[in-house]
Amino acid sequence: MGLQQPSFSLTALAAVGLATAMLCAASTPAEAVPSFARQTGLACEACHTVFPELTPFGRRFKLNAFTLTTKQEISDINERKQGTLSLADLPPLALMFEASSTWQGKRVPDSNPSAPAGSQAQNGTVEFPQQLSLFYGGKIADHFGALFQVTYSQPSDHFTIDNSDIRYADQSQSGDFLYGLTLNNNPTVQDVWNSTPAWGLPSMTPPVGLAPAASPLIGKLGAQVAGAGVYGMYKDVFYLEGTVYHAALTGKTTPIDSTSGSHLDNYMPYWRAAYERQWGRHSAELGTYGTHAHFNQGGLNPENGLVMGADTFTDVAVDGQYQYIGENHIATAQASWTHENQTWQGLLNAGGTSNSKDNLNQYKVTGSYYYNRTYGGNVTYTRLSGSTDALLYPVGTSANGSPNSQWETFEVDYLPFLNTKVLLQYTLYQKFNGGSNAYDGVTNRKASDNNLVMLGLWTNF
Amino acid sequence: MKKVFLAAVGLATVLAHAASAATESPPKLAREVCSKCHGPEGISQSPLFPRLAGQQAEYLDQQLHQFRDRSRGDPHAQAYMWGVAGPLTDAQIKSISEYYASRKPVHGAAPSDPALAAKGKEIFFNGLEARNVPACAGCHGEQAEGQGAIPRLAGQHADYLYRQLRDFRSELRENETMHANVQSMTDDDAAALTEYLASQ
Ligand code: HEC
Ligand code: HEC
Repeated sequence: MGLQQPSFSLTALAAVGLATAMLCAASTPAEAVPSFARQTGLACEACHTVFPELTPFGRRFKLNAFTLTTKQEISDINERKQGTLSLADLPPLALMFEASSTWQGKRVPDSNPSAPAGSQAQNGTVEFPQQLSLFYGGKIADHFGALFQVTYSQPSDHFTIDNSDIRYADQSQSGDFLYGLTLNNNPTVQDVWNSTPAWGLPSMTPPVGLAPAASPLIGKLGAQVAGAGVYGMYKDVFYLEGTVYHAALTGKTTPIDSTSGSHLDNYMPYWRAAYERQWGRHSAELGTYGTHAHFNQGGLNPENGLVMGADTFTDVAVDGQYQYIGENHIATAQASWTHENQTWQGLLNAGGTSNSKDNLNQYKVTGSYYYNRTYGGNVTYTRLSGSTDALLYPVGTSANGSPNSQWETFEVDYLPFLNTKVLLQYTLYQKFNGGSNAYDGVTNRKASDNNLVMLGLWTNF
Repeated sequence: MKKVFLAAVGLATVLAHAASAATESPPKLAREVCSKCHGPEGISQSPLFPRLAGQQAEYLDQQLHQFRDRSRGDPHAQAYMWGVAGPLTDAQIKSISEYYASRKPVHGAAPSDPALAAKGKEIFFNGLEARNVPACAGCHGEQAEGQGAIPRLAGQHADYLYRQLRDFRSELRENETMHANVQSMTDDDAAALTEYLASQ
């Protein structure tokens, strides 16, 4: 997944023009991890409807800390016959490869400030690979398991630490109560339902193109924070989790100070509660999650030389999921509503916002259907609405200072094998940063000029 | 952060010990592997996973050998049980089969479609002469409890049983006896039988 810096950093806000609105792939992780299949001896379909969406069993496998194994292990015991080692014969490695070709509705202006007026960037971007990830996913010891992802992404041309989730899990004697711990670096990456940001659909997002200026904080903290949490699930029905995160920037000054760029200040709590029911081939989930974060603007205030101070975000989300997993037909749906309250201090000091308080709402609904896990696709509808703020969404981004955006993504998939997906994806904007026509207030760009067509290949082995 | 983690580990350890002080435990293999799909004590909730509680030991033993040598090859057997049974030893197969056979079977809830179940009961006891379907009770027992290598069917998930009948018919699951029994059975007959059996 791309390491997206929060879009409210000072530089991004100060800059005007389309070029700065170009965000690099904000894509979320996309995984089906064949090393798990090797460890368990189970085919992908045990854990996934169609990767990366999890089946009820896939959710239990993850909550059990990825420890289920059916293979012979290298083991050891001490004098009291307690196990001291249980190691897989082979390291649980897997690769993920994504390639894509993307076209925009209309070319964007050349990002070179000294290019002659009217110069435009190329349309049609091929990325090969768009993303290449190496996974270490599997059991580490009895009750301990981990999933590490190291990713190369073409837009950044770097290998970076991607999602990491180290877990410990055990259950009560009766098997009714499952409990565990997680250490991870991306809020919701530890979650087992596909209605939360880290694992939401569409799972492969275009690496180029413009993205709306606003999005809730909770979905963009990947690889900038690290946290430890405790979770429990009772009778496969009630799930409760609490995790506390702290800033963990990669490639920045440590200890973190004003030179480190924008970062999480102090500790950030994350909570999650969910209720799941399974009946026959159906399962449904209803839940809530959220966080409360102080986020420091990096850098010093050019006017008085003081540190910028922190902005406060409170995200509260309600989510739901339904899955029907039949012999030939699979149909699933996810929905979420996220409300974010923003209290500006740092950004206000920096002159990056005109209000001291703003808010943001995001509605997202997804539906998917697959036939024989081979042919199918999904549709996602997203709507963003929030306070009007002329400095937060300045001319160049939005003509009327509004983040309001609305779009759909249509995706058609063909899976020649359970571990390989060929997809054609179309993203269609009705509203972009507050408007449909001449939305940025500078050019005549229409929301629909940002429509995207992506042809993608994604395989895991 | 480290402190929080250590405290959490501590808490979990205490919980783990408190939990394990309880009653006599099921075999490690059942607890750590089989139960994740087949449910605690072999009573699964999802119809994808057959119930094993109270199943005939000899039948369980035989099926596990067939998964291990890959001679039971219907799609779900391949996707799930080939990997699970592959590394099991003869001794493990024997003891796990005895364990599940010793669990108390569950009885199914009343059928949601009583008329369909009544039709199924009729076939179960008397067969269908017109389509060469023998009476199932002759082999599977009056209570559908099974015997030896003939499986218990009572209280099993209807969805699972239906899939087996279909797979016997198409020979995705190879078994001469059962193939002959269901060869000319219709989907409706199969639905009636499984509705009845699941309610027993
Ligand atoms: C990942 C899920 C999973 C795990 C773990 C698992 N099973 Fe299964 N098992 C299945 C599925 C699915 C089937 C149904 C196969 C089919 O439809 O042909 C099955 C079928 C069986 C059957 C055949 C039952 C019948 O009525 O014919 C037996 C016996 C069995 N499993 C025993 C075990 C044992 C013993 C273990 C533990 C060592 C185990 N299973 C672990 C998923 C699992
Ligand atoms: C001649 C004896 C015989 C008759 C009659 C018979 N069965 Fe069977 N049945 C068996 C045997 C033996 C097996 C085990 C097959 C194997 O080892 O794969 C079996 C297996 C099954 C299974 C698979 C159960 C499981 O847990 O996977 C079902 C379902 C089944 N029978 C249903 C029926 C029905 C319904 C009828 C009546 C129409 C019937 N049988 C008649 C002998 C019989």
